[in-house]
Amino acid sequence: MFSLLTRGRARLLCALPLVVGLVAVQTGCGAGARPPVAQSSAAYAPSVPQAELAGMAPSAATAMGRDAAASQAPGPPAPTPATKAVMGMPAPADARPAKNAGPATRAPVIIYQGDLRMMADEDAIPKTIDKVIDVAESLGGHLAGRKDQSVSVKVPSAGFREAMTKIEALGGVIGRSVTADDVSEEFHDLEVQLGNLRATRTRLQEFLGKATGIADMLTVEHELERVGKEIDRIEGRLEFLRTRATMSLISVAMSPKPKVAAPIVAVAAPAAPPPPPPRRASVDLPIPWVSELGIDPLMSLRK
Amino acid sequence: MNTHIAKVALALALVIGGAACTHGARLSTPSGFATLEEGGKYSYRATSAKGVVLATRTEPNDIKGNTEFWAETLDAKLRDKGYVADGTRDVKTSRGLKGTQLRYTTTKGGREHRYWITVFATASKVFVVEAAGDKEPFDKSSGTVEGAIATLDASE
Repeated sequence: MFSLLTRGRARLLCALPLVVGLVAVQTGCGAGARPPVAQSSAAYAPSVPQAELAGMAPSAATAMGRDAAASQAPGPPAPTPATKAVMGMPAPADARPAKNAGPATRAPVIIYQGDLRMMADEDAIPKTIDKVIDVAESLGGHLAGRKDQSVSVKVPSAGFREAMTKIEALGGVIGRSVTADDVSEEFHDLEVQLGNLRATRTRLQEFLGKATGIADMLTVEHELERVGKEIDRIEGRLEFLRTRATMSLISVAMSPKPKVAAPIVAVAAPAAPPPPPPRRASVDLPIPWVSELGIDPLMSLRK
Repeated sequence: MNTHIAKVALALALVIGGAACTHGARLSTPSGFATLEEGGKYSYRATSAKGVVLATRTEPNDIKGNTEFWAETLDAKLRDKGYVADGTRDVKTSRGLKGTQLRYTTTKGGREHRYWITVFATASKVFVVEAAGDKEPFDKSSGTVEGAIATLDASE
């Protein structure tokens, strides 16, 4: 059959099932927790027999082997250019992962969260909350949420410790907790998956350009669509983790100080009311109407 | 003829005497006040819509005290009741009767009230004019009250 086909068509038809099989192994079935780069090429034997590679034209087999090696070189755990881009670091000119980079070069991705419980006079709570917001804004952060007696602010992770110190300095801290969620492993696994998927997408696009049959094109396009969705999902998750790691959340819950009852002090008996003014000397006349005078009978209009 | 004249004179005396007994001292009711029918201790009483009340008493001057005597007697009684004196004034009615006006402030129902009492003494009668009301409306009507007191008709 190979004798009836042109040399290029033979390469395409042989390579297509191999690529589809590789993609399925690389990206399928939730394999994201383990970077495929740690796997050896023998792991792909069930879906891509070496005999099939051997049966291909030498140039095609060489090309496939080079592609596979490029994307699946065993375990360089150092941050890839994609990782560095996500972390805000400059990406090197060579986008390929460095083979000899070790785990020590990985930048930790840690999500910090601080919770403070503070007590203040009820009247001073709004002012204290304003000061917490001022601290966050002075460090490049911002308000994340506010209620009557609580506030949440986000501060750059680099200033997390300083922010906590300044907020605690406002006084009245009755409880604090800090959590540091290390998502480095998840982050780097996702990053490696993303790199692999992007490489796979590139190869699929190359094969799509070479495909001549409708069936082949549909198969490759279907795989491209699936890989694209997976890339989007991983990029979203990476962005989420990056945002959480870049800005740390500090929540402050305020509670009013209990009102202290006035101390009981022995108090002398209340001062006696001042004595009434001395009565004016007046005779007690036997005249009733004099005693009836006054505002009450006068203003009582009822008979 | 003499008998007829005597009858007419007797009838007039009865009419005049009866009128005098039931009349007592009265004031000309000022504008904005309404006169209340009285048959008790007051010979005249009128009130404004805002509760400023004017009243007169006509009492016998059995002990023959003069105006100064009665003024001091009434002042002593009212101070003993807790009335706070605001001052004393000499007054004179439009008919030339001289009297003394005592002015006080007191509290009624938790609000300050004015209370003026003006006394006129003749040989046989003591005429007393009382005026009172809530401080605010009374102060606004003080001129009217003074004018009404000056109209006292103290015909004996």
